[in-house]
Amino acid sequence: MRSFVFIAMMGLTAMGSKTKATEDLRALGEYLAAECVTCHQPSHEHNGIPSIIGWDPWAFELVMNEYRNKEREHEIMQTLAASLSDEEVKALAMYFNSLKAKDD
Amino acid sequence: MTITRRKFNILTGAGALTWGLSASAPALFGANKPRAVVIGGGAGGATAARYIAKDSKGAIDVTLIEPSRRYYTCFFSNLYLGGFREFDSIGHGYGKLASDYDVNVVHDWAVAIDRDKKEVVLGSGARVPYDRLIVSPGIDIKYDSIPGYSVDAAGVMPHAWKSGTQAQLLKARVDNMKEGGTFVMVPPPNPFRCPPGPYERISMIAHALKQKNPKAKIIVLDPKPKFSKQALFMDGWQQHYPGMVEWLDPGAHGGIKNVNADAMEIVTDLDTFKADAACVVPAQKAGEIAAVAGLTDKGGWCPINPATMQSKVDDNIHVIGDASIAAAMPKSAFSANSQAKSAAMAVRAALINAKAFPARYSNTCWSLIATNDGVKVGAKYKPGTDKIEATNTFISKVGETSELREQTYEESLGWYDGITTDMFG
Repeated sequence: MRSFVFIAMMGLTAMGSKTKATEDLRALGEYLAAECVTCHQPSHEHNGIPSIIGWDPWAFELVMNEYRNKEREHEIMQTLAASLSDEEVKALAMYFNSLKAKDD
Repeated sequence: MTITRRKFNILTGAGALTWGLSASAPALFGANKPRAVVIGGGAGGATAARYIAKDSKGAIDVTLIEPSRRYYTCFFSNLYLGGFREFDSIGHGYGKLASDYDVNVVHDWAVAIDRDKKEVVLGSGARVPYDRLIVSPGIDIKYDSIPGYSVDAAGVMPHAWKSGTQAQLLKARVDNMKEGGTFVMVPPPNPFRCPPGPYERISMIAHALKQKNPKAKIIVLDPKPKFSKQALFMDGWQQHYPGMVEWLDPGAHGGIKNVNADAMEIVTDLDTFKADAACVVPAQKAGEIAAVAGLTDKGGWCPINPATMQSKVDDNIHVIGDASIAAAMPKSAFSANSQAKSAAMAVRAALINAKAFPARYSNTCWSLIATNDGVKVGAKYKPGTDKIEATNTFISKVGETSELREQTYEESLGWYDGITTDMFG
């Protein structure tokens, strides 16, 4: 019984810290995204610059890594991607995935 | 700021407590929210106001002081001169900032800043108190930097360096030039707003003249021996406007001595140039309110702390955009928008204890040389110990494919929509 309570508490703690980690990642993503939305509109509007909202996170990370490795052409994107850590790319992927198009 | 924050918390608590007891409680509650005031509603100020309001979710009262009811962007005003944009398409209102973001937009001039009382004095005489102030006044023209130039001369030889009516005047003067006439452009000395701007302007006026007045000539009397994206512009002029544009450096003209607006003459050490239409852009300084408030240095610009854009002379004031000394960052709308976000974050951290992440800065300047021939220059920056430093830079190359140039132009259209939405909502 005591061990069950203990395990249950462990579970709660783990869940709590996971939520905290998710919140922190989202906050990091929102802050970093301010640099992206000067060009990539968060409303899904696009005209000469692609929309990046609602992407699957794995696809977002893949593309950003291609820019970081200069396997994908675009000097602005290569320059910006090079300034981001793995965690920061992950945070951006999660944040932009969470945005939904207004008119969809 | 600790004291202000503590005072704010105590008063908020008191306000919340009396809410149910007194009808005046909501007013008391609102009156004691921390206050951010922004001077200037351009790429820096409008962005800062919107980000503080949006990200504080009502916890900070935001006031934006901007005299113009409608803001005409300097960026893309050259495309208007070239006939690529309608004038109306570069004008923006402040309605959404007021209605969707609860920014108190005040159309008045900020004429003084009482830094001891922490109040902005308006042209109407009203006073606006602040806990944190963002000063984003852009540039003012140093009319006396060219003998003979003046506010009156600007009505004949427009500088058109603050967009709006001056850009309309310049377009009319170019459109009405006599056949085969001469247009003279005098670019400003460093440092100035939008380093590639004068050369994009030359390109766009050349484009307009090529359509309507192909025998016309453009003479550029530059006070500088070199300029931004020089190889790209020179190559573009050769390619698209052969024989039309003559760029003279100070060695070739001897230096600008004076202008005579009545005679439409620009006098240099070596020659006198007679113009049928002219654009004369004098030296520049931070918007006058910055100097009035004592925020400028001897050079006329505002020293800042690179991590937060705080003024080096007053911790309660952040100076962003063209008026600031952002070192490696050029004076551009993109830079101002980027700096606004760092300043807005620092203001939220100071006033409501929001998390402050490290400042991130970036810039890209697109220029149009001819139809579908766009080029760009840009960089990523970081706050150094004493100034903002470039970490990574890029620039378009001479001889790029026409597909890439067209894509660069398309991208600049997307950026225009993006940044103006980011500024005005």
